[in-house]
Amino acid sequence: MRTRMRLLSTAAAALILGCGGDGPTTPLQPQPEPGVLQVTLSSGTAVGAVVLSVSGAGMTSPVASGGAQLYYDLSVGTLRAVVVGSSLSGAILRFTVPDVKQAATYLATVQEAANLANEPLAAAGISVSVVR
Amino acid sequence: MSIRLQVTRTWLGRAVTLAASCLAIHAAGPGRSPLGPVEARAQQASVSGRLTGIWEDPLPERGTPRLRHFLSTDDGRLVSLRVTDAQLQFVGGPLSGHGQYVEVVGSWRDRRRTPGATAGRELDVSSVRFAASPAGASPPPQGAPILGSHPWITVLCRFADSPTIEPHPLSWYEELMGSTEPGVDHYWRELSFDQANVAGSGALGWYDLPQVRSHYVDDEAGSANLQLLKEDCAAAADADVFFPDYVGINFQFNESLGGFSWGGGSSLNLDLPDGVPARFYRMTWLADWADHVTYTHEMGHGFGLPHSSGPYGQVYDSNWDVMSGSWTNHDSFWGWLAPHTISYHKNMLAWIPAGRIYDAAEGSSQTITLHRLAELGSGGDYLMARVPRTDGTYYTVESRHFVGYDGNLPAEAVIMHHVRFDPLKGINRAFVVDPDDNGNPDDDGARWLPGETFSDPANGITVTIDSETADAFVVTISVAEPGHIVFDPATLDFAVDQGSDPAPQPFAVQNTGTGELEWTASDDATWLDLDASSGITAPAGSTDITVSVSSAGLAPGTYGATITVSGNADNTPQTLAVSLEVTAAPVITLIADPLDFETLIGVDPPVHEVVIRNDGETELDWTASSDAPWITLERGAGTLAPGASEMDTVSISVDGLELGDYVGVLTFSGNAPNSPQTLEVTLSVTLSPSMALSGTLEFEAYEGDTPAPRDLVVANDGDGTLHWSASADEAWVSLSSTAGDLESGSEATLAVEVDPAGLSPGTHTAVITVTGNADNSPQTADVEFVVVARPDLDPQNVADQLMGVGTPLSPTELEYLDDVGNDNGSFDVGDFRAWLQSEGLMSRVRPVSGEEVAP
Repeated sequence: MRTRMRLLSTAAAALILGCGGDGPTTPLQPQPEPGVLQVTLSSGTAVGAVVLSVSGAGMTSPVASGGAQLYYDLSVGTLRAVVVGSSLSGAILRFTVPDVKQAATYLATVQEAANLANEPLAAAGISVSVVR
Repeated sequence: MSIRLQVTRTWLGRAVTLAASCLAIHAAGPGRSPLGPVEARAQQASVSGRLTGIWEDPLPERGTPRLRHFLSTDDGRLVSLRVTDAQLQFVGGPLSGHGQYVEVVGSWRDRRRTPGATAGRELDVSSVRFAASPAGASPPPQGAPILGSHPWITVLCRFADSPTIEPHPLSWYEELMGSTEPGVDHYWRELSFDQANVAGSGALGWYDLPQVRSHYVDDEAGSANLQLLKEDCAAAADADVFFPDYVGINFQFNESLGGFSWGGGSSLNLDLPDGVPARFYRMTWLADWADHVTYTHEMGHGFGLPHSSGPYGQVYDSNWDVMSGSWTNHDSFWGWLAPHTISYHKNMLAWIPAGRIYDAAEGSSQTITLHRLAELGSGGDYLMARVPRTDGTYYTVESRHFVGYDGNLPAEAVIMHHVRFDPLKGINRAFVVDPDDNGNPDDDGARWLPGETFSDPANGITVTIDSETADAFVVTISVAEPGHIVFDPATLDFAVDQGSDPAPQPFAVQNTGTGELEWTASDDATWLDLDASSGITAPAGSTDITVSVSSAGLAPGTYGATITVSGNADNTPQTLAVSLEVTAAPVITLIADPLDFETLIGVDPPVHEVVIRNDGETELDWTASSDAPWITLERGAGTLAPGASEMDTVSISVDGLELGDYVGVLTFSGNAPNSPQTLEVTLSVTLSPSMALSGTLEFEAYEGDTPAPRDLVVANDGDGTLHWSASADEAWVSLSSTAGDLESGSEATLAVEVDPAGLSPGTHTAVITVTGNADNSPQTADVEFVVVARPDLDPQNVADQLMGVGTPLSPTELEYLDDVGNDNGSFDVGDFRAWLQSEGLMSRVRPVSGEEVAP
């Protein structure tokens, strides 16, 4: 909550400057756009479960997509999640951020995964990314 | 709702119609005994009149329909008779005697409380004989051809306590008696091919009876006083009716008659000159529910027709005949409409011209056209075929098509009936031929269609349906020439001492007839056996049947049996008497387990016991001997009274015997006809095996899981053959094999399995014991089964372990999860997923922990 207040103060100051009198002009800064980002997964092998982490600022309210089950932790500012489903592919996880325009600053990493027979899968063979 | 009520009423009417569609006659009302009130019960009486048959059809709970016999006296009374079929044979038999003028002698008995009773008393008949009918007596109306006009009058009567109740208006009954379809005059004209009618019939009423209904009907007993009903209803209408103008009278009442309707015949003395005996009329008593089928069925009885039916002990189960069921054609105005009657009945009433009946002869095969029975047709095709059986009965064959009153039959088909004596009714009746024996004489099994053949090999009969035309079926009827059964010898006599069997004896089944004889043979004795139960014997041929006798268990004495041979013979069945004379004698009976000994070299086996019993009727002296020196009987001889027994001991000595197998015979002799009796003794002298067990029988599994089987090896490391058997002392242990033989140096591997069902967490133990002929028998193996309790885990805690947060799980818990999962030695997300599946948690949302932030 403190972070949100600081951003609002900065935007108000920029507005005041933009409407000033004879001083040098400064372009308006873009407004933050709160919204939802999602983690997508692709793999050459059917994935039944995955442990992943997502780094980035202000992530809240993660939910799983496509009927999968989600267990997560946000206690240290990083989203750590376990997603278990019948077959995970495409958008598997959604979470809320203060500014979706900053999507590129969020990084998802697979820690481990398992196939539909519950055998381990190499994390390197699984690609995850954060998109709007 | 109104429709529903109407349907219900119709059904009830149908049920009652079914149950009560026949006729009964009343002997005398209260205080009107034919012999007068002063005559004592059981007093001998002699009564003369016309013998009359009454069909009584009770409701199902009141028994089965039956034919009752009555006497119509000259003064118009009906006397109920208690008479046997044998007594009626003196006046022509149970059915053909009807209409005869007879004198009956007997004693009175009270039957007023009998359900279906039509009179308070009946005459218990002691004799029946023909008597001369008095001058002026009316001719018998029953048992004769029904040709020409037979007018009936229907008299409608209301009980005094229901003067406003009328089931139908007079016009309904007038129309019912009329000549417009389906009026009964129209009906009987069609059935009789216009040879009989009831033209001139009519209806009158409603008349008021002088008494209330309870005066005539006893609902509790289910009986009605037909005599009173007849007298009072006729008297009420007498001013308007001259009864001698009619041959039949329908008494129609406006309420129930106690669950019955009756039909048949009875006398009435109204409208006759003084001194003229009462006139006999065809007569029915009809309850309020009577409809078209009720009237035609009861009038059919009045014309002398019996019931037909399926062969299942029912009476109203055939919809091919108005004289059975007839519930396939319902009309909202007339109720159930009747179909035609069957050819057997039409011929009874002389409606089928003689030239239109085909009588199949023995040794014939003829293709004929059977015209549909509902119309005479313009050609000369047959309307009926009769096919004789060798037992004196016969089949009828007829074509039935949808036409006229047959328009709603169960189907268009050839229908067959077997006409035979019905011992329950004491008359000949027609039964639908229905080989599928499924209880339904209306369905496919009773319908014979083109391509189908009825076959009765026992009587040499086939009926093949060749084709069908618009109004006929073409059938081929074949009847084989009958055989004639002759036995040679005519009797068989066996004589034997108790306990022994005589030599078998043959007898010849000779066929002296003109046709091939297809026969079956049977007997009625357990001690007799035939080597053939069926066969075919050509004309002038002969077939031997060998008769064997077993007298085992038979006490001395003379026994008789009968062999019966049946078939398509003109004298079938024939019986052959067999006698057996069993003479008293001692009988040796030996009782022993198999005398099979197996022992190690140099070691005598345990003794066996033999019981010697005398099953004969005289004293037995017995001795025993052995043909082998290594067998010894302790006693070896004895004397036994009849029925007594004693025990002897068989011992084996292997002294001097080498390894190997030996066989000896014990012979028991004596003064018994079955002497000698023998017992075989076998001995196997072997080297000493030694038994060894190996294998680790330690199991561990989580609660409810079944661990993999483990091996237990049984080895024979001694000499000779090891005969082993194994068992466990706990039910949760099972073995893939529990016994076997092992040669020296060989081994057997048993798979040992444990069943976790019902076992709680903890260590469970059992012992497997293997026994055998080894010098170190028995041997045991311990079984241990550790049942591990499943950890109580929370999904979020397990997930935390994967995410590296929260409280770490214990090594035991992690090992458990890996065991449940991919069992690769470490906990991973695959194990987590597998555990969720095993716990049934994959299909529902589980609570999650962690930071919750409002969006």
